[in-house]
Amino acid sequence: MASLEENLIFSIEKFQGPLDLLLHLIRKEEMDIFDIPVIRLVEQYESYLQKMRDLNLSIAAEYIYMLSVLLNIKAKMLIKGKSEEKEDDPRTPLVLKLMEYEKIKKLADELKEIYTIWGGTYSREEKEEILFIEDVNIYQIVEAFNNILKKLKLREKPSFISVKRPSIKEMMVSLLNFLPKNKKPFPFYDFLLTLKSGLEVITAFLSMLELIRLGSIKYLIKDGKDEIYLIYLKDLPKDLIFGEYS
Amino acid sequence: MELKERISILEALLLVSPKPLKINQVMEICQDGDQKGWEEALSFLEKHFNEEHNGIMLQRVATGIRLITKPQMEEYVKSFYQKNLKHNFSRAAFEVLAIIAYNQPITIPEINAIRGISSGGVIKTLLEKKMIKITGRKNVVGKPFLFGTTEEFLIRFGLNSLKDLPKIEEFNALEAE
Repeated sequence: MASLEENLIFSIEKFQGPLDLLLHLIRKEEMDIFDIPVIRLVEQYESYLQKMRDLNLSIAAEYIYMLSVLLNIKAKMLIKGKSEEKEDDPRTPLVLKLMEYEKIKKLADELKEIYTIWGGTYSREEKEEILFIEDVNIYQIVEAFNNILKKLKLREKPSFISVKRPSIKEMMVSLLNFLPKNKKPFPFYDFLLTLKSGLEVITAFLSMLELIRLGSIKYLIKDGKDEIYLIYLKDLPKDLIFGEYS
Repeated sequence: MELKERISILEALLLVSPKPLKINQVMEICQDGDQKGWEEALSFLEKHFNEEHNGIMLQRVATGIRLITKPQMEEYVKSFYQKNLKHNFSRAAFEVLAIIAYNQPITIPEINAIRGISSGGVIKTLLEKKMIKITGRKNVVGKPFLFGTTEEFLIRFGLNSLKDLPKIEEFNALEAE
C-alpha cells in the first residue's frame, strides 16, 4: 500500500498547476466533466494537497486558491440545491476553464510531436561572424546592463565624490564623440570605464537610450555574452533643443 | 530565363542561405519576376531532393525555402556535432507556446489565467530560445507586454506559416456540446 501511496505522491510534481491536477482527478475518477460531483472532487483535491503537505512539499499559492474556488462552488451548490437550470450552475465557469485548458494540453502535445520531428533537422549554420542579436527585447537589454553594473562594481575603488552632477546632454555628446565613426560595433562597457561615479554610469545609460531614440546610434547585444555594443549612425540633429534634458 | 537556369540558381542560393530563402528575394536578384517559372523550378528541386536515398530535403518553412537534413538523420548529425543541438522544452514550455501560438498577441496575465498557474520562468526560456518575442503593449492598466511567436518558432517547428499549426476545430466541436 505504501508504494502505491508513494507513486501517487511522486506524481504530484508532474502537474502543471491546479487545473492540470483537477483534470487528472476527473479523468481518474471517471467523472462527467459536464456534471462534476463537486463534493467528491473537493475531497480528492484536498487529500492530494494534504499528501503534499505531509511530504513537506511547498504548495504553490495557485493550488490553495483553487481549493477556495472549489469550496465556494460547493457552498453555492448546497444552498441552491439541485437546480435543473444550467445557466446559473456555479460549476460552469470552472468547467469552461478546464475545457479550455484541456484543449491547450492537447495542442501542446501536438506541438511537441511536431517538434520531435522537425526540431531535429538542421540547416546551414549561421556564419560565425554574425555574433550579434539585433532583435533585442527589454529583458535582454536590462540583463546586459545589469551584467555591466556587476562588472563595474568589481573594480570600484573609493574615490572622491564628484561634486558636479553630470547632465544627460553632456553625456550624450561625449558618448557620441567616443564612438568610432567607422560604424563598427563598439562595447558600451569601454565607455563606462572612462567614467568616475555610479551616477555617471546611470547618466550614460540614459544618454544611450536617448541617443537610440534619436536615431544617432544603434545598439546590438552580443549573443550569449549579454554585452551591449553601440554603432555610431549619425550626429545629433542640429536643431535639437537641449532644454528637454536637465 | 530557362527552367534549367532557375533550378541551378535556386540550388546555389539554397546552399549558401543561412535563413529560409524567399522567392521574392531570388526574383529581385535575378531581375526575373516570373513567379510561375520559379514555382516550377522549385517543385522540380522538391522532387529532386525527395528521393529515398537523399539525406537532405527541401522544406517550405517560414514563407521561404531551405535545405535541411532529413528528420531521420538527426542521430547522425547529433553524433557529428557531439552535442545535442535540440533544446528539450518542458511540458510547461509547450503549453505556453501553444497558448501564445494560437492566441497571439497575448499578455502574461492572460496566459496565466488559461494555465491557472504562473508562467514567468517559462516565458523567459522561450524568449531566450527565440521562440517568442514581445510584439507590443496592451492598452490596459499597467500596459503589459504582448507576446507572439517568431520566425525561429516556425523554422524549429517546420511550419510555413501560422496557418499550418495543428487545427483547433476538432476541439471546438467538444465545446459546442
